[in-house]
Amino acid sequence: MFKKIIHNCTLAVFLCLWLQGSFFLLPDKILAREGEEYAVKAAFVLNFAKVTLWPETVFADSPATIDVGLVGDDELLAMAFKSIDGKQVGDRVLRVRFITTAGDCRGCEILFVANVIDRTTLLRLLTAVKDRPVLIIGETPGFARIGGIINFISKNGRLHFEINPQEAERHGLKISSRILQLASIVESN
Amino acid sequence: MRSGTGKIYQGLQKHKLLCALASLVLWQQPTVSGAENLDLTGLSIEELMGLKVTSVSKKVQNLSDSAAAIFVITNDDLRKSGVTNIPDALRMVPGLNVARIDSNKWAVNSRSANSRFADKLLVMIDGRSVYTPSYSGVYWEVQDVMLEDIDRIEVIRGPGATLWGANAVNGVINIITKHAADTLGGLVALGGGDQEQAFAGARYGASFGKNSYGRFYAKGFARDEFQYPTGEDANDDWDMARGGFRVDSSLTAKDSLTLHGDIYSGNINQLMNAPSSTWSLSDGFSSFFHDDTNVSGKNIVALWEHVLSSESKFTLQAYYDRTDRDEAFIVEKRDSFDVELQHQVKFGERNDVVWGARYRSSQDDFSNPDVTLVTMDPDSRQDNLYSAFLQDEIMIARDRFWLTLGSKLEHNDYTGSELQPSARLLWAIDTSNKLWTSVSRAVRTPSRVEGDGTVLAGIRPYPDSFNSSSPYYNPRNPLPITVLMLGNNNLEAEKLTAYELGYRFLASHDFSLDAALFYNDYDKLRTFQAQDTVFTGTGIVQTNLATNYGSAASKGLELALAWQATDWLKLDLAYSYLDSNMELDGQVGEEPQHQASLRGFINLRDDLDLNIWFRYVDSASAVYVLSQNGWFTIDEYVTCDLRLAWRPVAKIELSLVGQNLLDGGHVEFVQETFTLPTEVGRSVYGKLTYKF
Repeated sequence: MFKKIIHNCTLAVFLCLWLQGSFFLLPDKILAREGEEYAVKAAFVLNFAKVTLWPETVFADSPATIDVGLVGDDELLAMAFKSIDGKQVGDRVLRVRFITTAGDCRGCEILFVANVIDRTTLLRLLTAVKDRPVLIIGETPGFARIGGIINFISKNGRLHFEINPQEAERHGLKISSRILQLASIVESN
Repeated sequence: MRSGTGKIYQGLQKHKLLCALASLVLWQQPTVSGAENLDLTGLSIEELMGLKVTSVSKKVQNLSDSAAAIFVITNDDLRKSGVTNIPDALRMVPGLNVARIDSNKWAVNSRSANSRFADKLLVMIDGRSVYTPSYSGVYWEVQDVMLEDIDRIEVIRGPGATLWGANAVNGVINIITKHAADTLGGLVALGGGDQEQAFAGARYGASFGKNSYGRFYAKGFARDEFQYPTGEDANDDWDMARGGFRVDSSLTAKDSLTLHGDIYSGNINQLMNAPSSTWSLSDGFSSFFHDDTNVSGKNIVALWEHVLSSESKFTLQAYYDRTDRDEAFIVEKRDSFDVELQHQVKFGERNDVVWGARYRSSQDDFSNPDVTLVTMDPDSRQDNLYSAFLQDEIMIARDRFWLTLGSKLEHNDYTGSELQPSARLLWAIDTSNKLWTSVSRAVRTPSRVEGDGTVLAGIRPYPDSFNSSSPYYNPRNPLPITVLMLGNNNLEAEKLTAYELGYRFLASHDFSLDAALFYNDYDKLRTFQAQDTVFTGTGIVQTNLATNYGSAASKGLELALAWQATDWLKLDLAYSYLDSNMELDGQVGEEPQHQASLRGFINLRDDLDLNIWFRYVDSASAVYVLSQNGWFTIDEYVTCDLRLAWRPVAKIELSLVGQNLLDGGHVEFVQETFTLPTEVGRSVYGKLTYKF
């Protein structure tokens, strides 16, 4: 009998929580911060744009924008990077667009290469921007060793990144040493 | 630029539903996380690095957010510990007792007295359950992978029966290897020493096709025999070879497929002291003989993960597993097939629901006329297991309180249907302090041997048959007694109700503390009850029938502390206190009350590591049929492992490891019968690891 009462009470509590679940609301406070992966990566990219110095010549065509090219047709990627579209970086604004062919990346100062693309496309793309002043950011294991400059890696559910300073130099980019200290430094293969 | 934005919105048009869901995640997540609309784009790199990342394709469970006693062994922990096998690695986990019985046998248990045949743990390797339904325990000597490719080993102490498979009563050990994309390139590891005579392993990983990664590995070892306390060789040397592969492929942005498989084969030597069914007064009742156990196995696992939306995904896993064991006292072939579906879905902001269903079929074959020590009736049997579970993690107060309710319903061929509910509550007091509590119930269904087996445990005129306190007391009858353990088809499931309380403190990246208290209430524990003796003309047969008359309680405290003292020194401490009255049933011995493990990671130079590992295990006892009173006392011991590693270049690591350095040898445990107490001795090996 007693067991049955307990059982019924548990069931009732369960149902209440399920159905409305709002009667225990406490004052809000930031406790465990979290964010969707691509939204966090987009925010990282905005930060990287702020600490990277491009040669002035790259802005000859569009002096007021830093163009971010997204490689990888993914709806979540699009939604996430929309959050940094139009953000101010110094006296320029970020412009986000999709890249579908290697030719499209002309005019981009930043490339974000999602890991949804295949290896052949990746290599073709890296060849297309070889030695051009483009900050190439990826999220594929080994990316910063095969021509990429910055690569996101996931550690314990948090995002870290690798930087290949030699590669940055080859592309004529200067990345703030403060950021280099936070990164894992890698070398080309 | 215009065309780019056009493309984004074109995408939106195409996938309105998905984008609507995605926008929920992207634009509402910040409101979930904080009062002020948390705009990620306003955060610095340092702040972003501290963010927990959620991904629609994989649920990232933050360790400090689980309402269970969980401990994780990382790949780094494994490498720096210098261990060469999985069970030895588990010695760093609080709440577990790991004891090496001889060169090729281990006893591992959680929150309980130990046994070679410990029967309440669920052990999984990449989602494949590896405990054997024959005795509900784990043959640890055949559980191995390429240690360098292990991503982590998650150990949950206490019942995990709601979410995980059967047998998860005292704990769940989940061995998880790396995604194939994380093991690109080659790795060769080889070495040798006195106990680890020779070992070699190689792995190569590559990417191929569109978004596919793969690796294959092969490894092998030969391990030398240990010694008896008398200094004589224990004849327990063994060798094993193993190989396997893994392929991870992202078929589309929403589908991923994993396929992996292994194959192994080994020779395990042991010196048996076994009763002979053809005894005579002149030849004695038992004999010593060498047994060369052949073990082999193979498995293949396929896993499909499909993301339905940003808030919902399902996984479908199927595997086939075959094991063969040809040992003097048991010959067993087993084919298992297992298929499991899991669906995870969020309902609103508050409910994170997981449900699943599973079917498992296990077909065994014990038929062998030469084996008389362990026999089964029938000698071949197919068992089916059906189960379904539902769990809901409910955020009852925003970012403060989470309540997880769930239950599993399982149907098995031995005891019918079993219900295993649990309730867990997590309270995030603030960012660094977390408190959790749980009440859960788990059952262990009878193993094959408990249901259908007959075990010839010993034949002897027990020297203490004239001792009135002995279970074999029989002053009028000096005739030999044959002791039989008899299975029982009417056996019920063993039941556990567990109460747990835990506290986690995460001050910073430099210091963390994890404490867990538990009280376990066991009921209907399997006991063997002596039946009336039968006089056969030349001797006496004492049959002990499996029954459910046992009940016991245990309580304990487990502590795990990690402290990055300076940038070159990290300390990891694990302490366990355990007090149970399980020994009163006479089925297991007394547990070690206190256990401690202290690991020191010292970074001498960028290219030089020194790792020290101290372990203390309190005195304990074990059931031992071959001793005079049926018990064996195990002394407490302190020991220490040392590892020195040097990386002359980034791709090469040379290491020298000394194990059990503090004494010449100590007995850690004994098997219940058939083998003699064996010492774990001091040993040294060198290893070279080359990556390319």
